[in-house]
Amino acid sequence: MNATTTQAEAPPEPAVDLSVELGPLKLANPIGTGSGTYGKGVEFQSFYDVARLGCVVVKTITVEERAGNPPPRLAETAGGLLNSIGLQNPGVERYIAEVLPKLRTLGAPLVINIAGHTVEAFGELAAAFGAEEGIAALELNMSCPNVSGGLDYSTDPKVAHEVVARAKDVTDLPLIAKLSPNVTDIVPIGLACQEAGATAVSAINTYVGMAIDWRKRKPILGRGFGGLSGPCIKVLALRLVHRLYQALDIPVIGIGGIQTADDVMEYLVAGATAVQVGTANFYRPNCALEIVEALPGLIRELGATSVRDVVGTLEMPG
Amino acid sequence: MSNATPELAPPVCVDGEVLENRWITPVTKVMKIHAPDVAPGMQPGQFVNLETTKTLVPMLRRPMSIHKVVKHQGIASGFCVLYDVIGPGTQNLSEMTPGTKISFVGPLGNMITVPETARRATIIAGGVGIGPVKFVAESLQERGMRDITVVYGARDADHSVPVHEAMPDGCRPLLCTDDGSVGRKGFVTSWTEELIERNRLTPGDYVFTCGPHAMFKAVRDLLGKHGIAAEAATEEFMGCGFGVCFGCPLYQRQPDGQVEMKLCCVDGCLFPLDTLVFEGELEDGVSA
Ligand SMILES: Cc1cc2nc3c(=O)[nH]c(=O)nc-3n(C[C@H](O)[C@H](O)[C@H](O)COP(=O)(O)OP(=O)(O)OC[C@H]3O[C@@H](n4cnc5c(N)ncnc54)[C@H](O)[C@@H]3O)c2cc1C
Ligand SMILES: Cc1cc2nc3c(=O)[nH]c(=O)nc-3n(C[C@H](O)[C@H](O)[C@H](O)COP(=O)(O)O)c2cc1C
Ligand code: FES
Repeated sequence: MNATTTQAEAPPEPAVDLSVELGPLKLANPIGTGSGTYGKGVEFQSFYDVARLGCVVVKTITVEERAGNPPPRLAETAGGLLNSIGLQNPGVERYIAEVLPKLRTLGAPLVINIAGHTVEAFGELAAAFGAEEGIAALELNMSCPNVSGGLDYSTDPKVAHEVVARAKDVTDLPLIAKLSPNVTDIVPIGLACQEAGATAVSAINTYVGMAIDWRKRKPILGRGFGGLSGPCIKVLALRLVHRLYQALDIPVIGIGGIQTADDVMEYLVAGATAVQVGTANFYRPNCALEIVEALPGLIRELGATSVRDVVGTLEMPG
Repeated sequence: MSNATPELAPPVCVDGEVLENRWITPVTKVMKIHAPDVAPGMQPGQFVNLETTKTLVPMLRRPMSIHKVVKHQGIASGFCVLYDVIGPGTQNLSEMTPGTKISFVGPLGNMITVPETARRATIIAGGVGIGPVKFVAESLQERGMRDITVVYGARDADHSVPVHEAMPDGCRPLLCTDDGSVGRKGFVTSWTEELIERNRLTPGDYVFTCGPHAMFKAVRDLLGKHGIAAEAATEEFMGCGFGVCFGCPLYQRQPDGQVEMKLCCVDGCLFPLDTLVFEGELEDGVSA
């Protein structure tokens, strides 16, 4: 705040400490971007200074190039968006050569999101990025519903453990395990990732869903089904984040339907140490920075002076 | 005439102010938006992504071509969009009154590329594809082009935008409707064929086209037979409009013959018409 102390009418508002720690990873504020919703980050530079975000998480990278799924890839639903993009990306080699240099200029800590089609492939990707400069952490996408071939690693605690452990073997970078909500119980998966050495878990990826054009008797998406995101999944994600917070010792990153600073406060109170803004980047491209700017005021409303004071302060009915 | 493409202005997300929002047919409106900081950077063929409500019904913005850049004492101060009211988003737009703040993202997409040697132009528009025509034709006139024909087809009289709204003075309108209620009964290809027969449309002319896929296909095949190149303003369902969601792909044939997916919003929305591959035209071997 720029309150002038010389005119002593209003006492200056107490400074709010927005910084958070995810293990060894220190972020200036808890606001990051959801993988696959922020392009290469550079696209947002004309909207605001991306360096002011806590971190930038980029779209999932796979070992080989992927062309992505056939159109239509998007369907708008009530308060949400159904997508089947299919991890379109140029593959790790070209990514490191062509894209990574641009990302290093963004100024915000850079989180690279990777997905392997096998446990080995996760290791290969983690090793490749682990050898590069300017990367703050890796997020392991174990949960994308949009690729075939059994990529859904986060439905089985044993496989989830293997994926994290394999990545841990080959890199010292902090590892964030991104969990799927498409499971009976998310807690055992989170625990397995923690035991395997994950620095944090992020929750959640999209819910598998289907949109239908009944007149044509056909699904709207080219691939039949897709992943649901947006404001309509927030209450579902909040509960999972709260459960993970209660069960795990490592930090939880909350994702799902965030578009305002109020949404972020809900996640912090539920137990998230940090958050990611996803789909809202599409329809309110300025919103991630607006949230960073609005957050201190809301934290002060609770009589708190730091994000840390707010995290996990939810009072559940007895 | 120069084909040096100016550096495109990077998009911003800002509020404009609705100055005017009026019916020009029983189903079509033109909205004028005051946006003095952004309008000077807008180029013909580009589009904006409009927020139609703050209440998430619908959640996504709605993309609209820039219909006209409004100038005040020679300086661009705002822009217009021309839109059909068809669903929840455009319904919201239609209810906005002068003075309303409207958030938009833009300018988006690429701009027209006019060959330096082109002396004449034909614009072929179908349905609401008439949206970008006025701005395109005006910019051709500003470059000194005098011979501009606009072939415009609509469903019926109710859907046919009046000529003075659709294009600047000085263009030659050739109209048609499906039922013959305005202009000739039939499709834009009938007028286009006649232009070609009479040597009023020849290779080397600049051709801009915007309309539904079926029209694109017919126009592409017709122009292709005569070796006439065209630039097509495509439309796909869009999540963001600025290249971050990967939600708006279309199929394009590459110089090596391979068909690849390109993003309508950032690789286009203007593409050479003869490179576009539409649904039902995909052969085996296309990675989809
Ligand atoms: C680059 C671009 C430029 C456009 N320019 C114009 C313009 O100048 N004037 C104009 O009237 N319209 C234009 N459109 C189409 C316009 O965006 C849609 O008509 C609008 O999004 C419909 O929204 P709605 O909520 O009213 O209807 P909805 O209920 O969302 O849709 C109604 C019908 O329109 C179709 N539709 C929805 N979104 C699109 C889309 N993005 N492209 C094509 N069809 C769509 C739906 O499949 C449905 O059949 C443009 C689209 C794009 C991608
Ligand atoms: C179009 C789209 C593409 C996405 N791509 C990825 C991806 O490549 N990798 C990933 O881990 N998550 C991906 N996600 C999931 C988001 O990162 C996020 O977990 C999810 O959308 C929920 O958050 P939201 O409701 O704020 O969007 C994608 C989401 C959307 C909408
Ligand atoms: S609309 Fe999002 S990439 Fe084109």
